[in-house]
Amino acid sequence: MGDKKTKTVLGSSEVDITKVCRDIRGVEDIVLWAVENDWMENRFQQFDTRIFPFTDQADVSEWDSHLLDRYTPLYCNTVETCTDCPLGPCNLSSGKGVCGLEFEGYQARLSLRKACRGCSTQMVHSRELLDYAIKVFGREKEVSWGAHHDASDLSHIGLFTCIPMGGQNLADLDRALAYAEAQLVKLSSASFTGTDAIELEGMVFHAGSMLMIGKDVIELIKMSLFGLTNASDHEVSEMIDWPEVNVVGGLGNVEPGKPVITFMGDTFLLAYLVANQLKEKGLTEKVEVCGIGPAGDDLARFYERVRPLAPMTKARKILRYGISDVLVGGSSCMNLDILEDTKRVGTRVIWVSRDKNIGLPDRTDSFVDDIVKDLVAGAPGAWIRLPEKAAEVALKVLQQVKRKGDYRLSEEKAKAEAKKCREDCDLCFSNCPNSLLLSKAVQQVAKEGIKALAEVEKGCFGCGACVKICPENIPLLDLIVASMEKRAPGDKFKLRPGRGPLPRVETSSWAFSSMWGNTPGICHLLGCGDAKHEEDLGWIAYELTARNFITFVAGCAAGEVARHFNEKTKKYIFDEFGAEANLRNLINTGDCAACVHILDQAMKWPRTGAGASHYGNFAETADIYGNLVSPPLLVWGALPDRMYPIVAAWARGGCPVVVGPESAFDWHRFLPGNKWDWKRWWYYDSWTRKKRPVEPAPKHMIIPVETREEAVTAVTIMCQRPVAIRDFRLIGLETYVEFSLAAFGEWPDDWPLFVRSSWELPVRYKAKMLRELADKHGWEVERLNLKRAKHPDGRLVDMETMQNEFSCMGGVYPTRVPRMFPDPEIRNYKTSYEIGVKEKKS
Amino acid sequence: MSAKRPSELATCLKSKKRALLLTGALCNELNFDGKSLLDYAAEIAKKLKLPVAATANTAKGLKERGVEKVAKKYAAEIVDFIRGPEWKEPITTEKPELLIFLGYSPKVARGLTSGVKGAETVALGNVYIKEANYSLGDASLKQYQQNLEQLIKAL
Ligand code: SF4
Ligand code: SF4
Repeated sequence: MGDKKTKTVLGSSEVDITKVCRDIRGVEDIVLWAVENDWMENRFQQFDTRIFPFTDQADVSEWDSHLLDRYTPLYCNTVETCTDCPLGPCNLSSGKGVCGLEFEGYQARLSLRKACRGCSTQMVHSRELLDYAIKVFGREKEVSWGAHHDASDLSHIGLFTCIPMGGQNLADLDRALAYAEAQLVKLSSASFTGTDAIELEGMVFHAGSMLMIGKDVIELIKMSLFGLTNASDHEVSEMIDWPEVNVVGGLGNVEPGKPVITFMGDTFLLAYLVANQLKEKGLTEKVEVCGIGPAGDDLARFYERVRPLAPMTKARKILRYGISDVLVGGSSCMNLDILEDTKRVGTRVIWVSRDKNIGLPDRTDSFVDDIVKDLVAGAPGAWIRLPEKAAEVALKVLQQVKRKGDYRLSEEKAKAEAKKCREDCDLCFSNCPNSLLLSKAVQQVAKEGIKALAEVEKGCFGCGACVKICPENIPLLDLIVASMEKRAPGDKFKLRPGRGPLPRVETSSWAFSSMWGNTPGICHLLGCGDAKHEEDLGWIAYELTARNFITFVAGCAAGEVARHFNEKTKKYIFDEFGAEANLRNLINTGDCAACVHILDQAMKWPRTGAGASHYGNFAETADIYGNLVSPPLLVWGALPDRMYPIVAAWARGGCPVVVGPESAFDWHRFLPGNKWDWKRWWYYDSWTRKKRPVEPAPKHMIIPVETREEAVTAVTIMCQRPVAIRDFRLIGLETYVEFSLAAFGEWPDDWPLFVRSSWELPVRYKAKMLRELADKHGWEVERLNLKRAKHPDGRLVDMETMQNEFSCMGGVYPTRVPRMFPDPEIRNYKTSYEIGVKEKKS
Repeated sequence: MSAKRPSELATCLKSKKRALLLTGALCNELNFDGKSLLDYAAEIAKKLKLPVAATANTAKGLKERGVEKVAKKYAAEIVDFIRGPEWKEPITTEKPELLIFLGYSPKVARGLTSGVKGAETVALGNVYIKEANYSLGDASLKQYQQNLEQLIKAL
């Protein structure tokens, strides 16, 4: 340790960081920085505070295990036989494997593998951009979260590594990313050797957290060094309409006759280089630049002429539609056989990822003119691992290539193909992951023509499963793509580009208004575009935002939401709602990586509301955040593996997650909570250190649902928290009942579980609720008031006892982690429920 | 488990005293020349006097079709409750011994039935679900309709 400084003074206290850190060697500087710049004196006085720089999963298990205890993993799509080691195979359905592995442990291993797979697709991309940035700008190049961010603004980098916010440079990012990569290696290893299901599921959470570090890193680089929008560099007063809704997307907005270059997947750097060349050469009006998946969302943040087309999951359909002359493709969240599609339509592919090829010749060392000549002459594509060279080739090919038309099926051909369809088959329907009624539609095509496929086409994401199974070898995907021609001219939407991060100065302004009421809640929206009904995400965003939710969206979901058009107001959704982080606003943070801003800003709560620093302090941050706010995440379309660790990161922060529709049911593991089992629902009252029963809130941690109506209803009730105050609870319960009645024609069965007092009942339903509580649930009612309540343990108790014994009314400070108990000798106040009113301790 | 003929499944369904029917999103989407899958769901529920956990948006339609013991539920919640030591879900007083899944796409049916511990499962779809204890076999939509008709007749 040598003579490195390990002590500092906060207020009147001396803090010795060797006492709060298990092993301070090598991290003295960053821990001292965090203590001096963000930690508060009282946390060291009153709590058993510990700091975990470069956190291991085991350091956070005190929190992970509580989550997994309340929300017991439910394994689906299980696999019985383990073949992970040479001792096997072992069938685990009848007992332990040779190595001691049990059935649940094996399912947890599979869950962790899925999380690691998803996480690594992001890490590869983050690493590629970071290495490039270091090469071009040097390790000392500063990066910044923006002018309004300060030490107290949370990032997953700070949360898990303790590396300071502010004054960061690329070397710091390298240190953070190297840590996350090393953790990922450990987790991948454990996914083949671990045996304890709960420990392995904790690692799934950890994979999610590491993924978020990868996203923080890449976002910082893009904003700091490549000029992507950053709201933290703008005034809060601008945010109501910033960035402007100035990007138009969809096939209908691509001008015919112009050369089209499309960027797909995680190809931000190439998009940046090409867009800049277009600007420099004055070509922006002469070519159409399109984006599929994250590339489209990224482009929107610095090149307003981009045309985002579709989410990653629908890439094959778009490519086969044949709109692109040149495709710049790279690794992404999906593995797609894109060459099969691009070859049919003559699109030239420039593949740029360094981590893998897709069967193209490696032309990295060829001369630019040679590559261009070959591609223009008809070569299907080239793998070029030098970004600048790839950009130059892409632009030159774009200006020279001429493709033949007529690559879509004609009406006659489509009818002829459709006539081959067997009357009594339906294999395409049975094998379609979205259960689209393709067979019936194909039979209609034979009579009515391609338009009969219109509905199916909207729900199809182009996986090709139907093509493989069809016994008549009907080119079903070609039929579907041909039917897009009718819809394409009207396929238009308007997008507000992503804004990047949300500084605390902005979120603080609504933090308390949301807690004090006026809104049923906050909702985070993500989704990969594979949902069966394309309009679902727009509908969901509209329903929630119009009801005063604060709605955040990012990634491919933003483009799907942007399609929502209100026929009454004649406005697209982003024109209809404001964009500041406030009630009844719809906030787009950016591409898939930019979803991290949503979670980062949300997890600031413990710092804003409780003064707890986040640096190296995940468990306490999650405990406070999870108990107080932790808005739900709704994932609509969950096909790519990357979504699995994203969801884990949210859930680990205590944010309940609703996933759907079809693709979510393919997942291995959910985290449901049993609302009827009251003994599972408790907190410690940190003053008395005793357990208190509470309502089941949030009901679930990760739960799949089938329909959009189920989704909004579940999200609404999962906003409720035992510490929430009257107005928030009242509006939430009212909205929950309303959604239920509208969609299902009945009251939700569990609303009584959320009742604690008569003044928290929504006025609109109060009389009916009181009657029901009295008639069906054994409560005692006097006029419009509750007189005696049914405690979950079955006792009929007066309302004062209910308040004193149940839930978190009257200033109870809840925690799930015993280490978070404040020291009773030091606290100054007794809480109101102990003594009726707040009074100074003598 | 191998696929069962409708008559075999009917015998199985009739033999269970504590069965719960779950009706999923496809009930509202599949139509067989004027008769919807929800109609079949209602017929099965009525014939066997089954309580119905109406998942997705199926509750309203089932009530309109005169099914009495029906309540809106979430499919994954039921799968979760059934594994617990104590059954407290008010849709039935006793823990069901058999869960009957109707109106779930194969992907959803596989996910749900594979998660059930503590009860047997029946999948009444047009695709054989190997994860279920009992399942109808692979069928075209026409054959599927015939399967449902035969099943209802045999109940
Ligand atoms: S390509 Fe479309 S219609 Fe065919 S199976 Fe896939 S999603 Fe279904
Ligand atoms: S799989 Fe082929 S033959 Fe069978 S119904 Fe579908 S399109 Fe017709």
